[in-house]
Amino acid sequence: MPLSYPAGTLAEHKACRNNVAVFDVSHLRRIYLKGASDFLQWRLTNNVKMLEPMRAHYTHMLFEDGSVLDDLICICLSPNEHLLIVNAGNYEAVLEDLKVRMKEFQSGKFLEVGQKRGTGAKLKTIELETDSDRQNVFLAVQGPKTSELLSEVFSKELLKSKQLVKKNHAQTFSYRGEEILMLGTGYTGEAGVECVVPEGVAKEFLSDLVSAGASLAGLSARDILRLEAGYPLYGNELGVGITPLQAQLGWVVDFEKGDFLGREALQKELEVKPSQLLFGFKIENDRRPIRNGDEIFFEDKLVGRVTSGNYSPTLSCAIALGFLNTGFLKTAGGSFEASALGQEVEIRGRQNRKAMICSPTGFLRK
Amino acid sequence: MNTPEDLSYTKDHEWVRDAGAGIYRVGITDYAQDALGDVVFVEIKPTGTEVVVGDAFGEAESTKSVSDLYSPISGTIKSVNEKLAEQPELVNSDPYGEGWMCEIELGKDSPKEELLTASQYSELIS
Repeated sequence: MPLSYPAGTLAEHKACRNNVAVFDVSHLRRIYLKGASDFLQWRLTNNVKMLEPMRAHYTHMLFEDGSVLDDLICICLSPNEHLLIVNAGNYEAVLEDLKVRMKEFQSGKFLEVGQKRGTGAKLKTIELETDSDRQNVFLAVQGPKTSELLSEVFSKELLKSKQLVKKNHAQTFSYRGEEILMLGTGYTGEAGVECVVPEGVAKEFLSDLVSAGASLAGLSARDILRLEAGYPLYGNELGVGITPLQAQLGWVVDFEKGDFLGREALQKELEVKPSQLLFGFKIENDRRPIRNGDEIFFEDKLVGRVTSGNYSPTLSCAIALGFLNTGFLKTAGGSFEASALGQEVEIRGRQNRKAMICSPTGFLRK
Repeated sequence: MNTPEDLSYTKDHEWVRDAGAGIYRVGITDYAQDALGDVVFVEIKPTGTEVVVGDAFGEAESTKSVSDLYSPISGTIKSVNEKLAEQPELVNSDPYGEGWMCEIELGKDSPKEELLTASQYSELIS
C-alpha cells in the first residue's frame, strides 16, 4: 500500500468522505482458528461467546500486565471457526503467542491463575491457518456511496438483498465463481465494508470497483481518516505499556465473561485511577498540523504528549490524539474524563499553541 | 517533473523568477511539491523582513511533514502570496504560477548567488 496515489492524500480523503475509496489493506493479516472459541474467550478481551455466526467485533489481545499486544477484529464464521484480522507489525508476535498460549490453554495451565472452567468442558484440538494458506487479499471499500457502488459490481446479488452488509455483520457474495467475504467493518468513520477476496479474482474485483467509481486511496489518507474518526493506531495510541482503559476503550473489555489474560492487571487499574488517559485535541481556525511527539502543557507543566496529529481536511483545522497524565486536573466531584473536556492546554511543537481538549472520538460528531 | 526553462533554481528546490526592477519572485519546484505531498499550511515571514541567502523565509507543512523554505537570494521581502493562507493546495496544483510564495527585492550589495539553470537543476533531481 503506497502512502498515496497520484490523486494525492487530500483528494483520496475527500473521495472517502463524499463518495467511495478503496484501500488495499492486505498488510492486515488474517488468521483462521477452528475449535478455538473457549481459547479465544480467554485470550481476547471482548466476549467471543456473544458473537453469533457471521458477526464481527473489535477486540484486544493483552499482555499479562494489561497492556495491548494487538488490537484486532474477531469474526465468528461458524460456531467452530473464527477469523482474526491483526496488525501487520504484530503478526509474527500474535502468531507465536497464539501457538504458545494454545498449548498452555489446552494443558489447563491457565486454571492455576484464572477462574475455574466449568466441569465437563472438553479440550478441543485447535487448528490454525493463515492467509498464506488460504491465498486471499484484503480490501477496504469505504465511503457513503459504498452500497450503491457494490450493487453495480455485484448487480444481481446485492440488488436483490437491497442492503449493504450491516455494521459488524459478515456476509459472503459469489463473484466470478469465487466467494468474497464481506465485513461491515472499517477504519475511516464512514459506512463501508472490508472484503476478504480470493487471490485469483482480486485484480478483477479491484478493477471492477475502480471502474464503478471507487478511488484508490493510500496509507496517508487512511491515517487522516482514522484520526478524524478517533480510531487508535497500534504503536501510537496502543502498545506495550498502554492498556485499553488508558486508551478509553474499556468497552472492548468484558469483565463479566470470566477469566481472560490480562484481567488481573486491568482490574487493579480499575480500582485506582489510570495514570494516563487518551484525549482528542483541536486547534480551531488553525490549519498548521499538530505533530506526533509534540508536548502538552497545562499551566506551564508538562502533562502529556501527542501520539498522532495532523491537519483535518473535514474540520479545516489541526487535530490530534494524545495522552494526558491524570494527576493534573482537579476532578471537582466528576470524573477526570468529563472534567478534562473543554479545558485548554498548550501544545508545544515548532510553535506553542492553545488547544482544546475533546473526546478522542468527538472530531466528526455534529 | 516540470522544470521551466526561464527560471533559476537552488539545490534546496526553490525557483526564482526575475520580475524586473530588482524584484525576484520565489516558490518551490514541482519536484519539491511532489516530494512534500499535499500542502495544508504555508507561513511566510511578513513583508519588510530582511532575508539572507540560505536562511528560512518561511515554512510549508504537508499532511506528512514540515519543510523550511530557504531564501535563494539576500534582500527584503516585498510581498507575500496571501492566497496561500486559505488555499495552500495551490503550491501543489500550480507550483510555478498561483502557488508562488513571496517576492524579494535584491539587496543593493548582494549579488545574486550561484543559482542553477533549468538544465542544471533537472540534472540534480534526475
